[in-house]
Amino acid sequence: MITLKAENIIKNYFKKSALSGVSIQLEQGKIVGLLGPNGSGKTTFLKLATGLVRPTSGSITVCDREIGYRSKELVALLPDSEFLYDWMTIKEARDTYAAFFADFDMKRFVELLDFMKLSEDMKVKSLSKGMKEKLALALTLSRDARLIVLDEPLNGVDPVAREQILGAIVRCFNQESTILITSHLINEVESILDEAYFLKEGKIVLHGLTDVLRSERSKSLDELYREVFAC
Amino acid sequence: MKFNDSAPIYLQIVEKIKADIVAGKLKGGDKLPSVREIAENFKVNPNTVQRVYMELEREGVAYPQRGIGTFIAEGEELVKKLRSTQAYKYTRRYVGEMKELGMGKEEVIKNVESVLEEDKNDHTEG
Amino acid sequence: MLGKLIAYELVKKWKSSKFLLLGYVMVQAVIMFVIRVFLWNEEISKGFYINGGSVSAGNNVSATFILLTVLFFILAFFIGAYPFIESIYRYERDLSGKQAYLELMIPAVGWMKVLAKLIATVVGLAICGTLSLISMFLFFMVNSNFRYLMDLVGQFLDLMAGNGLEVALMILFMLFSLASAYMIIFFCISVAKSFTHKNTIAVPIGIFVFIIFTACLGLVSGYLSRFPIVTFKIGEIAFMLSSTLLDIAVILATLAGTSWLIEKKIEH
Repeated sequence: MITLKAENIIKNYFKKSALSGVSIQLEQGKIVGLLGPNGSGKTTFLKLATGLVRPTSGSITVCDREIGYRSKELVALLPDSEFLYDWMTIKEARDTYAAFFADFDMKRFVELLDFMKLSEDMKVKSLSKGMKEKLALALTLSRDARLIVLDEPLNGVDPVAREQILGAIVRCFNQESTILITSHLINEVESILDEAYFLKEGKIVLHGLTDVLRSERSKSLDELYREVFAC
Repeated sequence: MKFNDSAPIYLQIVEKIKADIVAGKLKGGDKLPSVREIAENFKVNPNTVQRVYMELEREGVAYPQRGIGTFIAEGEELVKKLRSTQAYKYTRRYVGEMKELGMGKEEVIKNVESVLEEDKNDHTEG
Repeated sequence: MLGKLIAYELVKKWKSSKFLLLGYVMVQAVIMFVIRVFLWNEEISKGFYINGGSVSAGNNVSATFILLTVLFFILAFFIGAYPFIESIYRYERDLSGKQAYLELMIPAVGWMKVLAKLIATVVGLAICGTLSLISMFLFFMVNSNFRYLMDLVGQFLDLMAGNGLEVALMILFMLFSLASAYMIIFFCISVAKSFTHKNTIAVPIGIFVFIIFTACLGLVSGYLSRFPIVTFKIGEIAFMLSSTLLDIAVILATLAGTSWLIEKKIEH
């Protein structure tokens, strides 16, 4: 079952071209990495998949649905910046998610929150960056979405928290959904990826199953990445 | 567990499990942790862990029991066999690396003996 | 879903206005207290007699009293007008601020989101408007001879009762006009935001659209006053069908336009 189908996506802004002909297909039951440096178009692609931005040309569908409010029901996004209101308590953030997303699993959230060592009464304002990231992840992963999109989930987070985050991602993996991750910290995420796309300056330059990529070239993804993106 | 860069991850996990069997940490009849548990502990993709299971089953190291889990094969045979194959593998690797340094048979044996001697002394000194 | 969206919008408004509202109540209470306890005298209460529609100024009124009174009414006016500003600011932030992600991620149809914001705005205005009026009423009450004030209130209520229909209609009409004004502003903001989130460019675009829109509206309105089609009366108030239709059309058009923009055109 195809979760995401993007064909020849082109996205232009006034002054620059963010994506120039990207085709990506994501299947159920996979954890896929979208790898590339800043400005390569990763975040733009994620926004396209989640309906926050529209393509200049090309088509993109999520589980055969057009991008729009209907596809948003199926897609859970973890953005790479602070997107919760300061005045919210964790409980209020949870209630907001539960109210708007029918697929929110309360029990899973409580478990994840516990796993991340956070408590309901904390205020978003008082959380450190790592804790905010973990909270955002808990909220996102508690949704039973078909496509889970994590934009740089390990950024700005200390190594211990990173372990927790990777553990939580693996824990919430299931055969009905797809998890799409972008990250710079290739060597930390590569062991959980089934498949990887390398995005350079708006184009896919390399794509394949991680095991195949690694064994064909006898390199880790991290080394491969350096090779592909070395100027 | 730190993964070697270029070898397939699932094989590396398979090796680790075999090593545990040889060392006696895993015994015949023990139930392997679930796919999910292994995935979480090693921080690897559950699909990868599936392949670990498949490989272990293929080699006869483990066998599945429907609805209950996957178990390490029982019997001395297995441990003995694994012992010799793993030992061979490791030695092969070591000798290969020493040869790359240009060492000959004499030097290889001398080095092995001196390291073993060291270990023995460490133990007696406690 | 609509209910949840409205509740969410109201919570957002409350959280950002909480301190301001509580601060307002405290300040006004202090002012009233100070005036009543320290500055009040019979002369002042005379000043608050209302004789058949005219207010006669009392003598021996201290400058502090005047200052505080003026301050009070400025604040009361401000709190009444506050939701107006807050809503516009809130709408802009919802589209362009850090929390825009959440806003855009919510899986609801465009028009529902816009309608929810509109309703929350009108509710906010109603609440603050009432707060404003109550403040002013309390001020009069605190400073005047109680009996006279009650007479006045009695007269006012009689007026209301006698012309209930007109009063209800007036309130409805007022809310409708406010809603209309908002929708036009929301629409203009949305148009601007569909081009860019950078306020240095977006704001002039928004203002430009606003001017064009209201100018056209004025022209059409003036034109239509020559062709009322039909004039009808509800109670004692006269309406022109054509301008009523125009008003309804404007609010529907801006609602539709804004919804479409939020759904299709505005990007993060």
